Amino acid sequence: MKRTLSLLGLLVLGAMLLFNPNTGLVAGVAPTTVVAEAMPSTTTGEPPPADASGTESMQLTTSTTTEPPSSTSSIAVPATYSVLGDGIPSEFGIFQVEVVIESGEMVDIITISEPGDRKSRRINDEVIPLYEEAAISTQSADIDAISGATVTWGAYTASLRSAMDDAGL
Amino acid sequence: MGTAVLLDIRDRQFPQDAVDEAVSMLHWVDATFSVFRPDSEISRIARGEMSVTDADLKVQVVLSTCETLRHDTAQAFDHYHAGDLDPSGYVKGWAVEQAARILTGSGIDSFLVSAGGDIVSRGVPSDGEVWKVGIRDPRDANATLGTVNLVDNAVATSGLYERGDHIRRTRAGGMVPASVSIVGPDLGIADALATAVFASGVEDIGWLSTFPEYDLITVTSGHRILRSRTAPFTSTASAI
Repeated sequence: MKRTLSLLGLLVLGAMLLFNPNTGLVAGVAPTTVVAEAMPSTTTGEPPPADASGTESMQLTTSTTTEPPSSTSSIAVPATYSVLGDGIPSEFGIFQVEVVIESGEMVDIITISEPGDRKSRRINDEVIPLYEEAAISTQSADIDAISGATVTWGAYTASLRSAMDDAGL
Repeated sequence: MGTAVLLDIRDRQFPQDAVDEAVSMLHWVDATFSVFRPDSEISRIARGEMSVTDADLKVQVVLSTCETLRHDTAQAFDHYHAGDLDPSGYVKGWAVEQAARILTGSGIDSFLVSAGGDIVSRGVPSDGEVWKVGIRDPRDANATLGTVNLVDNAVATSGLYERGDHIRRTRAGGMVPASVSIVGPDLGIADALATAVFASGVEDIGWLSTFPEYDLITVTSGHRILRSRTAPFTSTASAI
């Protein structure tokens, strides 16, 4: 029973992350596409990994075109799609980003998971928009730090790098 | 200092002792140099309760360097600004530089130390790569002007990032940039020079040419990126 509850907890967490308005999936896209692909991995009865938080769905590549989900066998890369980066643990919590790619260019980075304690949230508010802008304008995840920003979030950059690698950027 | 310090060490293995030593050194600097601690040596010197010659040798060296910097920047860097002793504009960068020396002395080759956005780099992050550091945009706290490549050197950014008015006017009508970045071999000096340019404004920085190893990156009153000719800086398209 406890196990079922924890699985449910994971599912709810997953759904919250995926439906979080902050994830702002590209316009005209049904977010259910993502959920439909994400669900099976969390409902197969596999025990959750020791470090929790549904890391098994993190390699997920999601099509966000308006094509039906059944087109997974299609080889053609859709014009607009997004890739989830790895969840990277930091001292304070897990960072995970989603990269939105349009015509081979990174156009948006969505923070899926970030440390949520009060101090981290304050730092995140300062640092994440900076890294996001720097990464999009340079089309790279190679920014190791930012001069003028109080803190550096290596975990954010690491998640971003994994997503970009996966997308072949 | 009340500043978060980040150590990004890329060596596969490194002695934890060196990190501990660097961290305790930074705590010592805070306890000794903080102007916010009434019992620090700097506070006691400021109140006239201690003479400089009785202070720790490192305090004497720091204050002597501050004197030199004050002279060489035509008083744009002034550790007695507003009359009170406050060497913070040099000390933070100097402390990080000391921490880097401890790590290097313990055989650690590839690392980056960032204290509140003032950064020292050593070695490379991985084979064939160089450390890349974004430079925050003085006009927009959520944006960067571009990036600098760091190779065994440092970058300091001095400024305020309050939302709203990012460029302050001086009384003379000139513009004071909301932030100034300096790249160069020593983070203490880079920190002091950034503080000095920030204080004096970008219209009056002839003295900066006496620091040929240090490069400036900031924004002019005309919202153009102003950088030294030799600055290892790559502008981002969105900054233009």
